[in-house]
Amino acid sequence: MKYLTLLLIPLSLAFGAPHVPAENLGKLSSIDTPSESAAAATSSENSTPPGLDAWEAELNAAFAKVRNQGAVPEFYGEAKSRIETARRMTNEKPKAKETLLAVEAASIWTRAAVLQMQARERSVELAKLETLRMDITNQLNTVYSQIIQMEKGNAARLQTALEAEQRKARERQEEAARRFDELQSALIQVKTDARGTIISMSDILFDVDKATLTSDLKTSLAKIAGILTIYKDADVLVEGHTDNTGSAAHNQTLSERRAENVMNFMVEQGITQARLKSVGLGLSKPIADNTTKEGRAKNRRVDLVVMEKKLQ
Amino acid sequence: MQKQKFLPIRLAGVVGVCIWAVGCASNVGGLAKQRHSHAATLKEESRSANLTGVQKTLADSLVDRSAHEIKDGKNDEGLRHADLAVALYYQAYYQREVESLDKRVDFLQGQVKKDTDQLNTYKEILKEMKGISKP
Repeated sequence: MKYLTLLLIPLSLAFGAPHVPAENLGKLSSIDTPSESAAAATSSENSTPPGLDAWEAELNAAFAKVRNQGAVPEFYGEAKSRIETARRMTNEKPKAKETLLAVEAASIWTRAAVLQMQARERSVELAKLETLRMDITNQLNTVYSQIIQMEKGNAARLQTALEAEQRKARERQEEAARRFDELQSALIQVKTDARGTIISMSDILFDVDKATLTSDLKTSLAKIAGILTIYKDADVLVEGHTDNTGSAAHNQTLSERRAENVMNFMVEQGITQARLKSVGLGLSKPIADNTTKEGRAKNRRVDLVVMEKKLQ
Repeated sequence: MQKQKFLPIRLAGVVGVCIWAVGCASNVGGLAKQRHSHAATLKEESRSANLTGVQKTLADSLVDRSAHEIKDGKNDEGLRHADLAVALYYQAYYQREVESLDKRVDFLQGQVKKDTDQLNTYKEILKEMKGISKP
């Protein structure tokens, strides 16, 4: 037994009995994150300090979370060993400075080990999150591609529908032009220019120097209204014109009233007011020579300008 | 008589223990230097890594103290202080590591939530588009 004691002397010199000044121990205790301080840990003689048990429990709890995540963290064993040493020294020499220091060391190593395991835990969590995010990003790309494909498909369908509508509009336009042509007679001239189809009605269809509509004119206008009812792709500008005989003011008023009366009749025939506009131009827009009787006759007229809406 | 009989054995034991003790004492010196070297390396690495905090400050002072103690032949103290310094550097390092990882985890969790919301929005849009494009 004596030999055993002698053998333990150098061992304790090497590992168990270094002297640490008391002021340093105070500093270490102040950063001791486990719940119990070293001083408290060594306060009760011949029993395990409560701090050591708590640190061991904390250590084991942290280890349980990373147990299945690869090799045992290196500081786990170190902290375990330090706690065991501190526990043994506390039982043997509870008030010795070296014991106090061993408890401090156990505390710091425990904290380092717990942090190391927490770091591993966070790294694993981080890796899972990165995988999850990558998965979501892939899903996003897939869904986005599908949306783009759908949009392309929808755009193609819309284009087809638009082309069909344009074709129908052209057909309606051609049908309207054909039917307007059928109105062509000695008193009604139909022509086309940049503004659209122009239907010119001779003033013979009006009573002399009056704006009231004759029955012949009403018949012709009703036919035109019938065409416009079906052919909705056009607006109509009603223009009143005169020759240069009489005062300009009189001619202006007469042309305005005639144009307005024609427009009102068209509205009565079911043409939406919004599609119609009337204007009196008096003698300002002759289409023939006012010095001849024939020319003046041509200039006295009401024009219906059928303005086709642009096909889009 | 019996005492004399055991004397050589006792002497041999004492000599053996003395030899072993001397060996251990010099071993303490080696251990202290080794541990101090480790602590000094960590001190330099923690400085390069801009490690800060109370643990690092205390560890630095312990490394310096350990150097003086070893120089003065106080190997036990030097060993213990270097040992504590090593533990404190690791604690400081992993403290910062955990804080950094926590931030990255928080950031990624936010990104995942944002991406998930966007994915759900896209899925909703796609669902609506499929509904619209049905003949």
